Amino acid sequence: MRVKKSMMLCFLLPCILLFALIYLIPMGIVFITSFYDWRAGGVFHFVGLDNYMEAFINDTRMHQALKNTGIWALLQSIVHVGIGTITAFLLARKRRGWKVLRTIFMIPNVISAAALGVIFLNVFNSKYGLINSFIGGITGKDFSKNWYFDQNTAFLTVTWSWLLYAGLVMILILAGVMSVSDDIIEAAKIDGASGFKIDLKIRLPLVRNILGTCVIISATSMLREFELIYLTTNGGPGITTLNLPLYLYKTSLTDNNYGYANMMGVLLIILGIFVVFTINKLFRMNESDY
Amino acid sequence: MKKSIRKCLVALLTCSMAVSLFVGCSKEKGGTAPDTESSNVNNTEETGKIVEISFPTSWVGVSTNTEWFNDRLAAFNEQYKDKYKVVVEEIAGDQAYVDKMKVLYSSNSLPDVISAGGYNLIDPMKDQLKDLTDYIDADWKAANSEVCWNVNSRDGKIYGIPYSRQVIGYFYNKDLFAKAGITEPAKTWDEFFVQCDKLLAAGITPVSMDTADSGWLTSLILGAMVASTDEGEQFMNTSLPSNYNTPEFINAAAMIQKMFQKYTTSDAIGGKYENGASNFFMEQTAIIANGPWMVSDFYDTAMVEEGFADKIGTAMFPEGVMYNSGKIGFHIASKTEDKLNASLDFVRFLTSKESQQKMLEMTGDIPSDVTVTSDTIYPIINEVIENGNNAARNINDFQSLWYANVVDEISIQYPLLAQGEITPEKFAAALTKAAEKN
Amino acid sequence: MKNKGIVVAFQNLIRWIYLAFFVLISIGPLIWIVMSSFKSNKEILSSAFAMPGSFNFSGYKAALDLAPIFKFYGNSLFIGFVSTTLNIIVVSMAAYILARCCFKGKTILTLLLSSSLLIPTSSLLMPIYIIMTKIGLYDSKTGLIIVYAALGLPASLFIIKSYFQSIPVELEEAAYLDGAGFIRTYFTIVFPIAKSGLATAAILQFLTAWNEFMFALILTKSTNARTLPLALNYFTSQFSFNYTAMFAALAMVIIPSILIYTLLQEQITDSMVAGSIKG
Repeated sequence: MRVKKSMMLCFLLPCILLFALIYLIPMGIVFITSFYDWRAGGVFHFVGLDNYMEAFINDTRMHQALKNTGIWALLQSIVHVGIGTITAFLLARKRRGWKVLRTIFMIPNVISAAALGVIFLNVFNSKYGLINSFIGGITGKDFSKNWYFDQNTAFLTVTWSWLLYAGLVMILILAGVMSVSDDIIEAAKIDGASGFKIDLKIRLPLVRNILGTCVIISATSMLREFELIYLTTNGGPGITTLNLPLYLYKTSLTDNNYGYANMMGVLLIILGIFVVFTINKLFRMNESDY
Repeated sequence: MKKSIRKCLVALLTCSMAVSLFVGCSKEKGGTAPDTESSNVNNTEETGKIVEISFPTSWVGVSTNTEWFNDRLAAFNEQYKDKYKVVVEEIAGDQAYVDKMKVLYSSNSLPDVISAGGYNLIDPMKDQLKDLTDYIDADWKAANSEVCWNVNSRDGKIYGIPYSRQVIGYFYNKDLFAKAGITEPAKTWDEFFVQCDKLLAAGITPVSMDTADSGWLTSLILGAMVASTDEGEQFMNTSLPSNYNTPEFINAAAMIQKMFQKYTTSDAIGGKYENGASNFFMEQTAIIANGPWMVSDFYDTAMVEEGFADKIGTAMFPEGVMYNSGKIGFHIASKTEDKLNASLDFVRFLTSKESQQKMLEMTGDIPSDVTVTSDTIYPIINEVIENGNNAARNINDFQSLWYANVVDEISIQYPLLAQGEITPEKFAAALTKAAEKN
Repeated sequence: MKNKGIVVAFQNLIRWIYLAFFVLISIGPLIWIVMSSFKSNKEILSSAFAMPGSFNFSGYKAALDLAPIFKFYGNSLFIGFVSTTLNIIVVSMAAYILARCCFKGKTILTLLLSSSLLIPTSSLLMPIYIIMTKIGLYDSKTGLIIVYAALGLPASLFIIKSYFQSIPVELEEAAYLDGAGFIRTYFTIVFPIAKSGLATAAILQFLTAWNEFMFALILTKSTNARTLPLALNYFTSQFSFNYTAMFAALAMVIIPSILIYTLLQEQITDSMVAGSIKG
């Protein structure tokens, strides 16, 4: 489609301005200061790549945080998106009550992380928590597992607090599926395709772009996830559930080592661009469907 | 039908947007700053300019100091209404408060008066805090106990003005002690553990502990254990220690490990102060270490059963150890002379004898001025003060002494220690490593 | 034939279990919050999942006494609505160009804009604080509106762009042939067609603004500009807590946002049923 250059600029400019003000300039500051030794008490001098070297060579916490962030991003883009997609396709059949279900599945996304943190702490509490009472009730024996603070269960318990809540992915895909033109589906039905086959062969490929969007949103949300970990395990026990954003927060606001924290910010941005780029290629997202 | 609804919604949205933009703009133009300026003009001739100072506070909502602060603020505004105006920013939550101060610090825009409720902001921020040494005259200095000035000073310079002392021992449930056949609190840690065993034998969980936030309840006991020798006592009076690999500390960590494994509730690991306190309130544990600000909860029937307070005894930690120190007080970071004087007057007012007495009565916080007393307080608080005066060893608490990241680290390492994942030596080493980062 | 019936029944059972499980874990937290708001502190901290002893609204009253909830409510609604409108208009325009036009540097621009999706907000706190102070928007609703509109920028961009890409281009071209201008085509043809995508993005944007905590804390100082999430901190401090009031406040925060969501959701459905795509 041909559009005048000036018109294009007109449409792009507000967005670019907003972006520059809130992201680009701050990102610039973060990038530059990542080469500085900058701490509380007035320390501020150039150290070149020292922060980066320290992170990659010596800092075991950094390695753990990177590893956890990676695993979580991967789990989120596969399991989380998978759950959301399956749910969306189930609801797209429009059986009775699907509208109610669609609203219900979004509820956890509406509740603020601060509230969810408190709820999960209680659900997994070792003394009176719901899970332990439930297991105790079934087996008839007193069951006491400290889910969030046992080294073996902490990681999975933290993962639980976001992995299954795929309401967002569900509504995005659902909206996409429902906008697939009925004519195509009718044609397929006449050809004798079953419901499952239509979903897999026709609808799924047609929502490819939105699916890619969902994977990007889900994976990158794990590059930002902070509150739910901070409010439950705070990265513990030890560093079992530490991720990059939490480590960044601690380095900046508890250790007051701003230079090092900003180095992590830069790493996160690089990591994220890599993720977006890969998924874009994987889903061929820049091409139009028509 | 549907179309009309949609149209309505669109219209509503457009309206709200228009209104918002309008309100937004008008607020920007007629904002607070010019407003106060113009109202000042009238006053200038008689009373001089009204100096405005900013004071963010976490004394809001359920904070124990809320009522006291509102009372004092109203009194101050009344007394100084022609001279000063205090702009109060409510920041609910102590952690949120500290976080915000750090952001303000890093952009060099700290408010005029700061009070972080016991968190140590002096060490990370002292280059932007005012050195108040020259403004404090002999009388003011003499009014407060020596320990209070000490925690607020670095290298002989005063960075904070004290308002309260921290006197902390532990509370115990006399009923539960009697059930286990214990007549009086332990004098040594060995005896303490014998009592714990007796409580266990009687089917009672001995101690309330926690690990979240800073593991406050647990760390108080840890500190008291460390302080049972002369070296340890000195360690618990050292600001910003960087070496935790000492025999006293490792020994204490070993005892804490034992307590986690045997003598506390299953939700202690990962638990918050609320969980520990609630276990004590529900008479499910017999001992809790905490300060007298907790006492008013002993009488609050939303928290405890009727008559709970009568069952509560107070004790020093074994070996006669008590937390008996100053609490970090008010800092001033004003940038002009006018504001500095206003801030000093404000702080002087909040730390006056009258204010401190009200604080004692309303919150149970113990005044930094030792001459301030009151007859209208709960007897349990007086018992705590008495214990403080009789203690053989006086120490300061970890939250005001240690680096902030060590305090954070300790709550992350507790669960590992408790589950035997790390040894007490490794626990000490982890804290040392955190301290070295600074 | 019989076999097929069993298979279908089995499929239905699996589907039913699957959906029931997700209903349970989605709605459970909400029920728990509402239930807890009627319990005393004692009950919450000792038997978190038992029914409340009595139903009374003292928790709600305490919550309203302890924190300026209504004031924050108004701010949150206002900031949420305006930042959503701003975000959707600004972002959809850019998304349209990125989805439809080809120009030099498009990939770079897309990547740059989407890079904002990856940045943990905590790393930008300080710089944004400094910028907002410098341009005089510290402690104003306008400041928060701009920041929130930007926070949702990448997510909105992705969603809206992929919707534009799945809309056939023929309609617009027809409009051009009829002699309609670019801006007119955009607002009268494209905007209505992409409504369901825009509404989805709008919901997300609204929720982002509604639940955000850190920037609200750092960028405001007076109750005039503060938002609802800040109210939740009024109920726990280092040594005191009022869980009853906190859950009452939580219920008051959550239930309206669910209502808003449900209402908007209907709106999307309507537009889809109306079948905009068929024209």
